[in-house]
Amino acid sequence: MLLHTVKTSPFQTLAISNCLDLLADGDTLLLIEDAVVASQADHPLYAQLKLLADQGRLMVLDADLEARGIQNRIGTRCSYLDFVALVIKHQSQLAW
Amino acid sequence: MTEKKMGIINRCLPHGSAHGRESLDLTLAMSAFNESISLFFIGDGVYQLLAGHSPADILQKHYQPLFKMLELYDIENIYVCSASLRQRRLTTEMLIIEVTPLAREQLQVKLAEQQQLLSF
Amino acid sequence: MDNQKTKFSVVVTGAPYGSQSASSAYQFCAAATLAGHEIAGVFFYQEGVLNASQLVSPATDEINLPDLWATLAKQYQFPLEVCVSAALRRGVVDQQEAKQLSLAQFNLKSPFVLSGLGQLAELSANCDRLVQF
Repeated sequence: MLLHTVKTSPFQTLAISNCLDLLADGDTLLLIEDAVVASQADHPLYAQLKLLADQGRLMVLDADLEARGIQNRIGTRCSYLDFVALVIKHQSQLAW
Repeated sequence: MTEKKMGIINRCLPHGSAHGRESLDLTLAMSAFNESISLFFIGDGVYQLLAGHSPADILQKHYQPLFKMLELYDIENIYVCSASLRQRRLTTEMLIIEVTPLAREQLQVKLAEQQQLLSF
Repeated sequence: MDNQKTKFSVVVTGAPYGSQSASSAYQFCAAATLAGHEIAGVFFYQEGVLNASQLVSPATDEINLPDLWATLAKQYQFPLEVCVSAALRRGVVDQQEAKQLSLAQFNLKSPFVLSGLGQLAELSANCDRLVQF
């Protein structure tokens, strides 16, 4: 089980797209930094992210949403303490 | 202290950034301490291995020959994303070292086997 | 594993200013220590080595990330390891290297230390979780 962290906007890089290509069944995706925008805006991968969110596998870093004044439409908001717990819960972390 | 199964993932083209070179430096150095290293080349990272780099004219270091050291350093698990190769009109014969091409599902399995991952 | 102490090693690859990633790494480390976990060490690589410069001088009302790292590392007694080859290429030098290379200045901030990639291997072997930023 991997925790994937992505930090860039889907309008800027293909990191979320590349990550989704390699995301396995038990994996979780955590959006941090600029990538939190993917939980709010309309973009080609939104539907795929929503599916993940429906399975409880999409997390969004609260502090990065707040910092940007963005209100997420999908995904579970989480704190840095939750981030730490997510890393512990998964075998490894992959930073995109 | 126990050695961990470590996966090192290469995602960038060479020369536009130092990611590829610093990833290779790290890989070669780590191999002296860790015998369980696997290398992954995905997306634009496959261009790291495309034979024929010649970066002298752009003031960049020609580090590609160092990939040949991987074999000497006993790093044998070298995986390349076959979809990334196909999308870029490349084949394994065009690469400077011998690699194992893997489909996405197989890559997921190999990634899940690693205890630690570093990506560049 | 959730209720017990986890040992983290953290790899920082972003500069202290210009991108958020080193700040994110710091906030992760602060949260991990707050939760009672242990940081085995932080390894600074690529642009991350710039976190170790004592010449970083932001405006007084702004965050000084190198200071924050130094304070957290002292408080929780973990090493701040800076990859020497990545550091020298980017102009981060300690006193000994400056002498060896006949450089007029050095700028490595205490308690950061220059070390080789072997140190990363040790941090990797000596932790429960490796996290990269």
